[in-house]
Amino acid sequence: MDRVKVHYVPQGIGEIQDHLSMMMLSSPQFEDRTGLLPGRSIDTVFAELDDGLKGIRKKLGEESYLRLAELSAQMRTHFEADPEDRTSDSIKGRDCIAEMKDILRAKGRGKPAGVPSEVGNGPSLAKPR
Amino acid sequence: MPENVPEAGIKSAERLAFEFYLRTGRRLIGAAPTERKFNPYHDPRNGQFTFAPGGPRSLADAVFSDRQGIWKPRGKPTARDAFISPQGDSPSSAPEVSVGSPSSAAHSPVTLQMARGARNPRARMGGNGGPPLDPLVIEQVFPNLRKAAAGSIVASVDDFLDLTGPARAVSADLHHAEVVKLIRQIQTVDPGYRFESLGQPRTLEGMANEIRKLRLDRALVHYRVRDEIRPLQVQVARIMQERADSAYADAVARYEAGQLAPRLSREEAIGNYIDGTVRADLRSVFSVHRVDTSRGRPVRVVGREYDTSGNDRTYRIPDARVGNIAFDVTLSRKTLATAQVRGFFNADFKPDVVVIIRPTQLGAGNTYAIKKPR
Repeated sequence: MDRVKVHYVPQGIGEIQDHLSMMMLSSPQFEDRTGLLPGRSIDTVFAELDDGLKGIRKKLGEESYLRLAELSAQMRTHFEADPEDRTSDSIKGRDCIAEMKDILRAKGRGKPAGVPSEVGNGPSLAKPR
Repeated sequence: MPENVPEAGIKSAERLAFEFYLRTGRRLIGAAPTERKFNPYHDPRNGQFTFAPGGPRSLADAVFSDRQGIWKPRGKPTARDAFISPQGDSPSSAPEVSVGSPSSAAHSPVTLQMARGARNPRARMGGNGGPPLDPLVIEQVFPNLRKAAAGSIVASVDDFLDLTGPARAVSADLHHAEVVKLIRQIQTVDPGYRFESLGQPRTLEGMANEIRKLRLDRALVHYRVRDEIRPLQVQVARIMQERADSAYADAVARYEAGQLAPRLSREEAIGNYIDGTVRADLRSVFSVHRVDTSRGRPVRVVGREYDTSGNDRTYRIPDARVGNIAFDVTLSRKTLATAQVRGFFNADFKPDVVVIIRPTQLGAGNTYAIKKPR
């Protein structure tokens, strides 16, 4: 099978969380309505998600990674079973997204929910990293 | 009989009346033609008033008179010829229709032209007449930005997206004119530019997408060829606004269906998904169009912007940064009193403007710019 041409592979936990947000709102068909992302489909978004997860496999740990990969596969099955968003399958697919976000949040920086992530302290000037 | 004397059978009524006057010194009663008031815009089929070409009503009824011939299509090839069409079908020019009886058409053919979609010359644009329909720099999106006092909030013009304006006119020709204009503008900067098209879009959505794509291409060409980033700032604002609007509608629907679990509040739940969606889509758009968003580049998506002015360097992370403008998508109204906004202005890249993008559904004044404080 030919490799799906992806648009962008999310890098890191934060970008995968963003990707999951996009999937939550554009499911179950994931089509782009603006024409700026031609060819976006269920194939491309899941390829991007799975590649993104592989990229942080070490950081996630094997157990979490396998669970996330399993949820991704389940999610896809649900969305493919309900492309018109008419049955409970799409809802189950979105439940998978919520569970994946919870796992990733826990694997993040340990910030409690609701704390904005756009502020922080960089490495000290004295000890640049 | 001299050859230049016309036969009586084909003399006009006016000529016959004049000859009768010469012979008899009397005028023929009732021979004078019906007097008509001059109106350059009437339908020659029935004499009824029509509307001036280019006016808004001319689009609803695409037939109008053109005695002066100023709206005739040009014979020169258009930039539309630059299309790469796999089917090889080039866009056709506006069809011309001849009306009237065959005999009258043979003597004085009346040619009607479909509306060409030219801009209404009477429409006011720019200056006191309102914003341009297609802003190229951020000051045209926020018209009072240049004159605004430091730290003030400047509202955006209404409907600055104007993505479907030409398409909304339900005129393929008007859309075509816009496409040709955009291609010409791009080729002015990059003569080698070719717009890949699968042919003339047939739907409103397809027309809007084509214009959206060309506007982004135009901004990217300016950025790459001329190192001019301002058009890209406008396009990024447009993309983010559009995505925010769309995501907001989807997120509200999901929330009301009980599929977005709130942690703190409804706004927090909806806002988080909107933010993530806008950022993910923006990354993909930049990636597809090969825009480098790595650290140190003028275009960033969710990149740390450090403030090294103090002893300990801190950072803020705007949703996007394009040149000297930071963009932030949010549901809540943020001002200079917001620590996050002040943090953006304190960052090392010293933005001149922070653009706050909020979904259009939130009402007037949703999106605005905050000018750099002193």
